[in-house]
Amino acid sequence: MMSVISDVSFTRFGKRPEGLLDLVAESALPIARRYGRDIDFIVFSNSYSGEFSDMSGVNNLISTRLSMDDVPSMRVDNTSGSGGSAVMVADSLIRSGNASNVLVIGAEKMTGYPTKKSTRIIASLLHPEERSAGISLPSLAAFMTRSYLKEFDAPRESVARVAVKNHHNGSLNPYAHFQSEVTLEEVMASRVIADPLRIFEFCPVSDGAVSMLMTSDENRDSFGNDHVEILGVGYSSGTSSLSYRDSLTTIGSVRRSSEMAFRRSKLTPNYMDVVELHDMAAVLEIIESEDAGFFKKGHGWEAVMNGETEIGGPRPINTSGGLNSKGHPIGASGVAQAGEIYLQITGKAEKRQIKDAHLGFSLSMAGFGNNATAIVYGGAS
Amino acid sequence: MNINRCRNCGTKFLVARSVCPKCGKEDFEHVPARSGIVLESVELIATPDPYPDRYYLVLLDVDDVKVFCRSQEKLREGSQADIQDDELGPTCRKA
Ligand SMILES: [Zn+2]
Repeated sequence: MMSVISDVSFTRFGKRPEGLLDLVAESALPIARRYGRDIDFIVFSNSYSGEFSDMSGVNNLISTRLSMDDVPSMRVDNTSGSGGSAVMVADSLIRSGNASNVLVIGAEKMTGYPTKKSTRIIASLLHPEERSAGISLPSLAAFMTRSYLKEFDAPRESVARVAVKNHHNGSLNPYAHFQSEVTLEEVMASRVIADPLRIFEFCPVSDGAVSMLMTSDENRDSFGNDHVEILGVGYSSGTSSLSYRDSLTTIGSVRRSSEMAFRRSKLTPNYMDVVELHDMAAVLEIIESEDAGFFKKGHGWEAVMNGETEIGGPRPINTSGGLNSKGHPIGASGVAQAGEIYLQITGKAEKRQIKDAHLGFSLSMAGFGNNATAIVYGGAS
Repeated sequence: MNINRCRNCGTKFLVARSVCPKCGKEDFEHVPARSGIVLESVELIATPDPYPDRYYLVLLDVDDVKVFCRSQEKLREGSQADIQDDELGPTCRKA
């Protein structure tokens, strides 16, 4: 048996006045209205409802909000990688026969606090012995950038070009936080956050939600005509101690999860028409594009410089705008990646549509590589 | 700041573990980290609460173990730095 995604519904990402449950309802209602009575499980991807919204047990608050009080539900909390994990859990529930039709919701409310406080909340995923030095997640990306540029003699501009590309893609995505393009000059003149990385090279702090209906290939005909198949899922962890990692220019969990997803789908990176990567910082898109197998180690930056990863290029990456421009409401991001692949493969991606998109790949990463979930998708055609 | 060292196989690491990642034994000693060589230093302008608004994060090699410290000044790669804890955590400065 195989699981399929049969419907997707986004809220606009950004600084939203609504609370967490309102955002969840906005994204879930279009699906619940159509298929509410058929849904027999709700998987809620979310990490920080306690910290930002003072709520726990939030999956049950959601099911009652949607008047699906008796539908079993669970929260999947895996920091930035929660969304990929939620899709993996839904796929497992369906393939094991434990559920038939799963509502997968990813959401986060994050903009209520000053940046200094939200930076502290996100940094709580680090070990105390490392965190106490004053590390933030953006500072790790700065270390990574310095190591990458040095080790592979890559130009500084190549990292900034990822941000230029993703802001362009985001300007074509009505759900993206940022709706405008930036030039290379604007990126390089923007405020330094963690030297050498500048503000346009990081994802913004965003609120947002996205919902999907997942079912089995056997049940799919009850849920419309547009389905995207989950062909293979891979997952892996790497050490959560940053000081224990040998290299800052490769991420073991990304390599292993991607390799597993391709092996299970009996496909290779070359076949992928559309790819979503976890670009919390622009440099991560380059490093993950290598670790997932799309480019040789140390050559991802050349692909960016040559325009290969743009919409219209041979290897489009982050057509949605990526976390960099679409925004990164933590629990929503991995589900939104699957949603973007769904829109692309079903031909509903409008201005950013890739021609003849049949196969896709997403990489959802937790805590700077603590773990990763890679998913290979396919569509009937 | 202390480094953890396995009493059985000598493996050293920064983050507390209950089991040695190399030999599986559970007996450790704590070795004070007093100085190291600067591997990289990054200026951080957006910092987490309750830390100051601006500082350098320094990655040090302490006897083959990597450790992170906070510094008020930029430290040159390859130079020697002394480590000292303040009320927030480990800091370092030019030796
Ligand atoms: Zn040992």
